[in-house]
Amino acid sequence: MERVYRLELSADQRAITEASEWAQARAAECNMDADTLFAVQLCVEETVTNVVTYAFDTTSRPPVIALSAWYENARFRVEVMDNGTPFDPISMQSPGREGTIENATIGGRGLRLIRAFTKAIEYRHDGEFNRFTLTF
Amino acid sequence: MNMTVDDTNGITRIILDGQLDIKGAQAIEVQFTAIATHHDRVIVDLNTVDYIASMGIRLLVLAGKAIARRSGKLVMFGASDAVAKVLTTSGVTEIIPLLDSWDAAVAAT
Repeated sequence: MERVYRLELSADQRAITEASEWAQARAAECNMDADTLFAVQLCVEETVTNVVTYAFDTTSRPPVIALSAWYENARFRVEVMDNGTPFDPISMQSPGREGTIENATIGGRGLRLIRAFTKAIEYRHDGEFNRFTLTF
Repeated sequence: MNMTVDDTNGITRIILDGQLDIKGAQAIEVQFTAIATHHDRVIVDLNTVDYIASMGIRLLVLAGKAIARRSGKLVMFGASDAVAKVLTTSGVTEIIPLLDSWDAAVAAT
């Protein structure tokens, strides 16, 4: 059976902590194991960090970020929606190898982490919202 | 996130305790950065760190850059499997070595 929860967030830094804690709590309710709880906290933190940091740079409409979570086919899934600038994170290139520390890029590692800690990621734009789904 | 510092025999050991999420990173940012800009042999003890995300990684990398500019060394040790996977996947371990033990960390600085 599919169960869906909803959480709407302010588009600021508090949203990052709120979102990752909320998603991890929902995953715990679905009896996901410790490794999955860690992955959920991490991937939601990374996703919402990117949204809060980049999605609303060039828009002036009231920002909306919403989260939903559900359990389906033995997988825990989280969708992050935002009405910011249309952006497909999956199309983004991962930053290259770090090389020397002097050249290390700050940031840009989020997607690499998300890919490593999820079973699947999907993106679509529904005409109004970016919708980024994580499957654990 | 709590931070304690031990300065012995020219090596600075920074012991982190808790979660290095965005809140944790911000809680220690000032003190952590101050250590990085004033010491040349720094070992970050991750034994009681149970979580790390981008902001924590950023803090480490910035500290590593600051120490490198002074021709110093920054290394880490004691990461759990999950934390080590984050550090390795994000590529940080190619810049800041992650060792398995205190002795190995000392040898690397």
